[in-house]
Amino acid sequence: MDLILQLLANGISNGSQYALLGIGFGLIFGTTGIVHFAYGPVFAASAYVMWWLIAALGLPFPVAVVLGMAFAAGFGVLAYLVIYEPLVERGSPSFVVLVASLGLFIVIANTLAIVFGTDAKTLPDFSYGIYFLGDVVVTGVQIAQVLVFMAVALALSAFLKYGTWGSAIRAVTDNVDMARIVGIDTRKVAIVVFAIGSMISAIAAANLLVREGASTHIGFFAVFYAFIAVVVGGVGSIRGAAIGGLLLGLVESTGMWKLPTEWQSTIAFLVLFVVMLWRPTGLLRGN
Amino acid sequence: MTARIPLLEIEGLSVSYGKRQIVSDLSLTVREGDIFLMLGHNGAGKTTLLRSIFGLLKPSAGRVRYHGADITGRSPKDNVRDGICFVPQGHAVFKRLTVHENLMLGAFIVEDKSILAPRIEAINELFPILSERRDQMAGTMSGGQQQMLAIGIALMLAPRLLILDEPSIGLAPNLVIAVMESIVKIRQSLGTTILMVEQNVEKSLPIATDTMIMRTGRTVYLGLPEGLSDRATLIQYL
Ligand SMILES: Nc1ncnc2c1ncn2[C@@H]1O[C@H](COP(=O)(O)OP(=O)(O)OP(=O)(O)O)[C@@H](O)[C@H]1O
Ligand SMILES: [Mg+2]
Repeated sequence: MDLILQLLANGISNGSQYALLGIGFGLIFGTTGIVHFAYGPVFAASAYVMWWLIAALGLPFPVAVVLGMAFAAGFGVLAYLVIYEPLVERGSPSFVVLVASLGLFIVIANTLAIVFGTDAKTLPDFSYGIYFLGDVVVTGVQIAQVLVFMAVALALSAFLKYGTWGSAIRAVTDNVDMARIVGIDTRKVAIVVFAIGSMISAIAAANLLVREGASTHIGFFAVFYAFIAVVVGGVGSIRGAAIGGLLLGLVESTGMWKLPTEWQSTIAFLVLFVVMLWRPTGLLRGN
Repeated sequence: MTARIPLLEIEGLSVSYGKRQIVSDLSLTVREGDIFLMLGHNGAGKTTLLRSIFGLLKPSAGRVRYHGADITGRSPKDNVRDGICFVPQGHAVFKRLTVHENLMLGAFIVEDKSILAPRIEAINELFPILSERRDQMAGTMSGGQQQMLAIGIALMLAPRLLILDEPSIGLAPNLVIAVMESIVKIRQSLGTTILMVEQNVEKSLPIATDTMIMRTGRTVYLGLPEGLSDRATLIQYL
């Protein structure tokens, strides 16, 4: 029983991180239709930048996070303006945009390896507490991951529901053609969405930096889990990405109970496969 | 009624998809207060023409003038701000948003949303079902109800020029009549000029003040609706 509770706690915590990544990725994907694989390396780059700001420049953690978010936003918007927009404008089929995004993924990932090396970058003497909830042990980072995810999800929901930009984003997500017809500047919406989505990835990067540091493969895993969370949950809603991410975390952590860790990403694929067979449009879009 | 002042002038407009020319050297004039009816076969290029007038497609040649000003290729966003609204073909609504949210998006460019309550009220009067279904998701309404919402969205701006692409498509006969009546009402109450594509000749011809028939991207008839009143002439063109 204690073990199950412990696995559940781990699952919710990891799931929150996947959900957070999924929300950012899904916002970009749902609104623009662009499968932004370079979301991963942008996430990784912001983790490295935050590490550098803290370890080399000695900036306080919160300041580094804010700067890291700004960096990610700029990077994401640049990717859209320089790579994706020219292709989309030209009416390129979506697989061309997909290939471009994979190309961008490789370029950024390699650049990061050249600039920062391949060894893991961890924060110097960053301590967080360990808490006991009954017999369940959780770390401060695990709790933070859940709280950060909830805060971001609520803030983003409110933004989409009540702001002018939010309603423009929802309109574009629903029907781009109609959005243009009512006079929404769909280009600006794409830019805003790339900025916000990338900022969310930077928040997730801050979590990871505290938990285990930045290393070569974090970008790949980030976009891999974000993608699966979004597809499993259903494209086009925050709730979908959130549910997809949490489910992924829970299934994965209960799977780890009996299986060695090498199977971790295979479990994620299995979740994707099973859900897609059962509900091809994702959990929240059954119709 | 008809002031006969040109509002929209199309001069020698051509539009292509890739190498295929869909609209060829087409000219027409819509005057202030007109209900300009455009008829033609499936695939004649009517939708393509409307979309290029509104700035959703770039014409390869020719001019679009509005109020005498050249608006060729101007973005929909700027056209909307200038009082031109477009209702595209086929239940064009935001399906996963509520009826009310759809109407509010129709007035997206309006900064002061407080002026919109009377407009919504007027639209609800025209299409009472929209107030009954205020908080329903648009995509869960019937096709005809969605079509009314699509027209409602365009009316949120009280446009000067309303471009409609087959507003009666998929509607039951009594609803077709209702929509035609509503178009007449819109023109009367708002002074809106209408440019409309229709397949339902029988129901749309009586309300039209001007008519054009298109075939493979060209004009084959341009004139008063009365010229099409007998069946034989109509069949010749369509
Ligand atoms: N996006 C597109 N790409 C390529 N060809 C297109 C595209 N849209 C329309 N066409 C072609 O242009 C021609 C005219 O289409 P359009 O939709 O303008 O016709 P229409 O007169 O509106 O027909 P309908 O009455 O069926 O709505 C058709 O032959 C169609 O195949
Ligand atoms: Mg058409």
